[in-house]
Amino acid sequence: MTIPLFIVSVLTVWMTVEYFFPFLAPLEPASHTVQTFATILASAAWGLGTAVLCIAHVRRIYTQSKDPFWGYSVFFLATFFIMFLSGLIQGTQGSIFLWLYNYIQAPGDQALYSTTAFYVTTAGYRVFRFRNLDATVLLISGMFVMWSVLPLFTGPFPVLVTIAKWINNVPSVAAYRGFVMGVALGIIGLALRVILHKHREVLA
Amino acid sequence: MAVTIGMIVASWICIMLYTMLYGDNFVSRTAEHIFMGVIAAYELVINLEFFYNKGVARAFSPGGAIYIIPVILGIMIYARLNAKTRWLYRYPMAVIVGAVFGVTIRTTVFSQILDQIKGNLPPIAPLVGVPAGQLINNLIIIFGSLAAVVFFIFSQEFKGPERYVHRFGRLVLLCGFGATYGNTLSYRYELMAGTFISNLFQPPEILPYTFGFAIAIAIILVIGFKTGLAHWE
Amino acid sequence: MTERSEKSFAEKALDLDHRILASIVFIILSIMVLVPISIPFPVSSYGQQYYDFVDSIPPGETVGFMIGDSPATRPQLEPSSVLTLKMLWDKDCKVVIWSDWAVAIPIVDDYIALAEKKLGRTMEYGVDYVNLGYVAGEETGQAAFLKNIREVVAGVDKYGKNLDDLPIMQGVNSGSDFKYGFFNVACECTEPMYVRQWQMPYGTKLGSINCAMDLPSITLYLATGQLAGTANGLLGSAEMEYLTGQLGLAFGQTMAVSFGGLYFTILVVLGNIFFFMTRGKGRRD
Repeated sequence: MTIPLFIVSVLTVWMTVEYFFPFLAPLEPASHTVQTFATILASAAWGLGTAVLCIAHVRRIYTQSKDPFWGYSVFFLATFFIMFLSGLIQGTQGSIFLWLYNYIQAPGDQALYSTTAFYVTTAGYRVFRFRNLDATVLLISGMFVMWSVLPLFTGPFPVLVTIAKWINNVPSVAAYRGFVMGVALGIIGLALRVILHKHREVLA
Repeated sequence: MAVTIGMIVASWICIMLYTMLYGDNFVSRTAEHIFMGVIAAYELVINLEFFYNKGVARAFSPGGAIYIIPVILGIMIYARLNAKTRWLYRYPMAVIVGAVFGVTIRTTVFSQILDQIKGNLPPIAPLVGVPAGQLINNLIIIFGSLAAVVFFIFSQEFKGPERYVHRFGRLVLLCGFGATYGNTLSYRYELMAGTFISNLFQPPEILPYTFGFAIAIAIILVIGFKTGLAHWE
Repeated sequence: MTERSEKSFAEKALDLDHRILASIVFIILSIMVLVPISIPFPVSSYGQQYYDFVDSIPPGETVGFMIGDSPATRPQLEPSSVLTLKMLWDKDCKVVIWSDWAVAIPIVDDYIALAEKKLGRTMEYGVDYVNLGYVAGEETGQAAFLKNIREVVAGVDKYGKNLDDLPIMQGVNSGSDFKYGFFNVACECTEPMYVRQWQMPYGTKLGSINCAMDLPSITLYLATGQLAGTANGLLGSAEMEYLTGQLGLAFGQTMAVSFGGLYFTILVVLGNIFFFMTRGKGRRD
């Protein structure tokens, strides 16, 4: 673990310092090359997650007596291999590859993501209450901002746009400014902990 | 517009996935697994293509010998799959993590701290020579953002007058999160309207297939649950 | 304490099955999509600001356009993206396109085709636009890409053509070569990343095409001038359609979404009424 953590520290400090000090400019091409390496490694890392997923599903089929839902893994692996092989053989512009993207992946993505609309509706009915000042502020600002982007409300009541614009441009900016500064300080603190080898979990 | 088999499949996949809103069932699980298989393979193919074109092919092209390093490191990532070789995985991860932290924190200081502080100062937020309304707004932004930062100090308990600063920060943050929630609500409904338009109801010629399949699925689910072949989960 | 065997109407209403609530949403949106109606609405300052920003770009300028849209957000953001491309090509601007998300690759091709259809002519690849393809690595990838484009993409575009052979890429190799840029980040909330890695180091004026969910963080950067404009979700798309005179799907979708919002408002009001009714009678805490 020592050498990998050392690599993390050196790269982080190097890339940060060379950005601020012009005398380190001759090292910039090397720094950029390392960033390009990280880009290529990021694409390789996708395969790891997919491999783990496939292994889990194969294991589920292999030990089918222990898992009553093993049959679904057959669907997963079948569609996975059809898509994978069509991409490998025909390429990413191939007809089968694009057909599966356009008529299974894209609508599936849209449908799954849109189910959250049903859950926020239920949450609004069950959870949004004028219990105290905090909840009231949250609810009122949320409702005004929501109304301001819906023509059914802004058509007859254009003043909603003005009120929501004030909420978005004044208290919301103040909130996010503080939030973003806090997050930025947190990121810098985390980076310092990683550089000083106090946070080893980044390398699992 | 003529209805193609693809449009029908897209409509049916959406209906199958929407049945999960009524409880986890075999129809939605099947559709989820089909979807997961397709998207996992899609991401894998695209990223492996990138890895090959920008790494492997470049490493074996004239003048690109140095790119053998990310190719070897990229293969080492898969060492994580075996317990005995898991330690090799830390080296490519170290390069990724180091590069990510390096490029992030060096610009975070400017864009998320210094530029935000500048946002509280003239000329962006002047306190002199501006109308009363703008002055009040600028004061709310300045004190509100400072109070919001104070809210994130968790290492100290606030008693006395400073607890009002903490409280004001909390209210400002809640107002901001309320605005986020309001925008998120409309975003969620936009997703749903978009799905309906893209897959379920357009073109109009697809409506018989959409409603016919929805009725068929409803009948299958009701029969399945009544006969005990399927279970609500 | 007296045992109560029957729940009050308010308690029963608060315990209403979520499936009934979901079904009503489904019915309302289905009706509004099948029978669309349009109500005129005022253009927000964000929509006007974004349109003015695109309009202000000088003719013939080379513009960077990162399209990282997703299938889920495509219905909302497609009009903004396509109309932005159309407005740029109307002024003979050159557009360098790339993606930071793998799922955006087929979407980019569709957007280019749709923009050409709206223009009524085909744009010449390599002269009017170039597609550099997918750039992996999120923030590190974008930082490296904007520092030295050719090194990250190995000197070739998405189709394997040498960038030095394309007229549009003459003199273009980094973020500093774009005075103006756009990014479509779908729902990834990566706008701060582009402010950090594109606007701040290179001074490029950036326009954002993003989901409505990201607006509060965007207004922060609009207030400091780090972003020049935002096409905010479906409303931004509808406003772009209205301002460019190209009314289309976004305009129709806004009413469906509006009725969803009305339903949500009614539910919140009713939920609070029932809550205070149960609280008033001391039946619940």
